[in-house]
Amino acid sequence: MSVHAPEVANRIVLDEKEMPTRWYNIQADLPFPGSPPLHPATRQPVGPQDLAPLFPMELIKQEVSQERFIDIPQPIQDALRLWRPTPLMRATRLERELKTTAKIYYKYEGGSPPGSHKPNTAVAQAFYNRAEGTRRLTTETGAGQWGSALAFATKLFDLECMVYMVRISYEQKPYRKSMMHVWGAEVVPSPSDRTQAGQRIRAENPESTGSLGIAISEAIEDAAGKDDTKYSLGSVLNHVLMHQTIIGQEALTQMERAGAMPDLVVGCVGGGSNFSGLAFPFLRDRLTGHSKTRFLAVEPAACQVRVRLRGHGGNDAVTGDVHAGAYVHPRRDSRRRPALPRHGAAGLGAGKAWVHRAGGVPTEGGLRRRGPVRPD
Amino acid sequence: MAYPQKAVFDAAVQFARTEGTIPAPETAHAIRAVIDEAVKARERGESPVILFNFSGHGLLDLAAYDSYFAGTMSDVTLSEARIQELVGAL
Repeated sequence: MSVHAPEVANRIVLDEKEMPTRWYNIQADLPFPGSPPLHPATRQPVGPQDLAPLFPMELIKQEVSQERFIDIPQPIQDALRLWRPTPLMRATRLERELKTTAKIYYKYEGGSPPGSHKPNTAVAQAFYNRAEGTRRLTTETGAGQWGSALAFATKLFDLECMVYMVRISYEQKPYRKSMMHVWGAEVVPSPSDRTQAGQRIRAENPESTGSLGIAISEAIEDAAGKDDTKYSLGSVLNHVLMHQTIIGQEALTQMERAGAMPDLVVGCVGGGSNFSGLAFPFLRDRLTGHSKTRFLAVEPAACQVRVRLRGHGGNDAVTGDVHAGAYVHPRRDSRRRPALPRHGAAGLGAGKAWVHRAGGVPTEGGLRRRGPVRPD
Repeated sequence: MAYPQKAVFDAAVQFARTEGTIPAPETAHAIRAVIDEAVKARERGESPVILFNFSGHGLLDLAAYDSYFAGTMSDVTLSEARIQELVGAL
């Protein structure tokens, strides 16, 4: 029996030892400063003291860091190695069906225990919280991708996890809730009676099916009121995007090994973490003049307004819970809780002809023009 | 780029039927764009290298696939005027 190698490698894998040991912080290479988040009451830039009730100090430091690389602590590396490095795949069968002359590669992040890229930051956030004495983490989730990632991560680092899940998803998408239960998290449908924000909504509208904005408000209220509890967000923030750069760093090595550096890098965006995670290490080369790679962020045509209106109700499986972007609201979310940073992937690259988005994750600039923007 | 739902699920199903893995709906948005770029490349006679992030599998999103196959999935389209009206209501 003869064994023959395929004409092209379908699967480019890295050894465990080749997993990146530091995160790439694009803040160091941005040609323009990111806009700082504003405090909703004072309209002044939010400082570390404002974030301290919600986040551990190490994550706050990362949020504002200008260091180009930040070392990944060993316990986080150990956790990541449960499923990383992830494979780079060549989609040869799809190429053939499309009869395309393009080469299509994808970085497969679906092999993590919760099945998405989200645990890349969840394990890091759980570690830093544990290290600084947090006992319990709260968060929100729409379809449940983020909630299940944090449930998994908090179990690894021996924290309690409280997930406010958009009520309509809680009812219609029972299996991610089941996953969260398997990992020991507590999950309640939002709006709930656990918080003033939830009670207020339910008083106004007992039939409310919830929204990501309401769930965020509940999770923040829960955390802000307790010394042993902090809050965790799965997208949007600088430190979250930075934790995801492990994806792009691995992909850079793998593309080099495949002998095919990308002309175009594509990702879906809601809060921006998976797109940023893949794109930032390639964007660094572009920013420093070492490549001509173009970048394309893709989002649902219907999401923008929905995000603005109700923080994405989560009743629509198409958009899932990519919409931590609900929080990239220019003024307030549906419960008028403090705004978190407005940039992240949403603001990054705006005005750069080679970073394209359309439909517009809402940013501080107000409603962006919808409709396709053609790359170049 | 911004895509309506049906076009996104067309791409998701095409991917699953060629490459095997069933994508999460979020991921399918990226796949839609990649397929369109790949077709454009063919038409232009270009050979670009395209890389995308397969951010998650869709095995917990099968209800959405059911809805797509049942034809009960609808595209939401909003006029600019309606958007302004809705945003104004905020």
